[in-house]
Amino acid sequence: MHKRDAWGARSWPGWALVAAMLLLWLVAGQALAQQPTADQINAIARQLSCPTCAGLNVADCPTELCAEWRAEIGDLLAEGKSQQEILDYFAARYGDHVLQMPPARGVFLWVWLLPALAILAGLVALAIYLKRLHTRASLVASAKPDESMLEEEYLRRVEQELEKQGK
Amino acid sequence: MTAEPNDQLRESDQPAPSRRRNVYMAITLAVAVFLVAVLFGALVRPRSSTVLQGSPAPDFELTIFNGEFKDQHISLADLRGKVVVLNVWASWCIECEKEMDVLEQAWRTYRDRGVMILGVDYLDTDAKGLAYLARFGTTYPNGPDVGSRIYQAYQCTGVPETFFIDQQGIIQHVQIGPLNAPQLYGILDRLLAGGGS
Repeated sequence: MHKRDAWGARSWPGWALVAAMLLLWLVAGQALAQQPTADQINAIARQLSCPTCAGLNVADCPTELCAEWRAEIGDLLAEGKSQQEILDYFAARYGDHVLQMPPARGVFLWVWLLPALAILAGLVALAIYLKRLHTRASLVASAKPDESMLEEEYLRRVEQELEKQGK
Repeated sequence: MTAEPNDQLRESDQPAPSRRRNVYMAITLAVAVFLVAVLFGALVRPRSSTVLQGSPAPDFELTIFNGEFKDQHISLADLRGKVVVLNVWASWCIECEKEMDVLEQAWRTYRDRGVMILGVDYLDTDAKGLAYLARFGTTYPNGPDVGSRIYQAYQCTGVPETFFIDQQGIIQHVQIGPLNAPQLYGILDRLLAGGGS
């Protein structure tokens, strides 16, 4: 009887406490799992430029503004937004110039096109130069006189001179 | 008469690769000069909102996020006939704090005399911007500068900057830095009297 009481109706507050703790552990675990880590926040913040300082990204910038933006990134991550969705949000809200990697549209299109065009122009110039070099080498090779012919000509002239002197 | 054939002869004598090389050089030089000019223009061109004084104010639309005008879309074109004070600010801007009370007092004094004061919250989160307005008890309409479009269009160089736009939509005065009361009231009285600054 005594043993049954220990696990029976009399001990229900104990069971309730265990159940409550279990529930709390589950809820807290889930909440912590949804909370973005600093690494997750900084991975996105590194792709944004501080708009008020030169050359600093939002992850490294110590200003109040960038701290606010990091907090906003954390909130958006907690809402389940993807990295691209968050970057799109910042570009729409604050302008394309806050992106470290400018989008390939508008005036920023030149940032992407110019290096490619420069490389292409360089390759074309190199190809023209190499082709011309090859053509010149071929011309020189074809214009080069036969050495045996030169020797014959030389001997012929020597003989002519000797004949003249002999006369 | 005799020089012409000689000239033609000389020109035709010029080897083709040399002429082509000159053309390539000229094209390369032209491209280089163009790129340097673009770079120079971008770096040296003075960018200041004060150059807009006397020019028509760029149109914009602001979605208000505070006070009695909350969620309304106000465009500059709708305000033709009124004196518009466009104040660009941010919650992280310490200097902006100096003029918030002055602008609020001016709004209460001049709103029934044909003056509209609009606050443009630049590079701010809505929560921070609204908390800032609440801290100063600001009631005049404010809204976020979505995409920094107003800041760009008005060629701002920082915050705070304030633009005074007359009844015809012309920018009559640009204030870089915080405003004080005598200055603000002086400009408003002058514009309401029909004179530029």
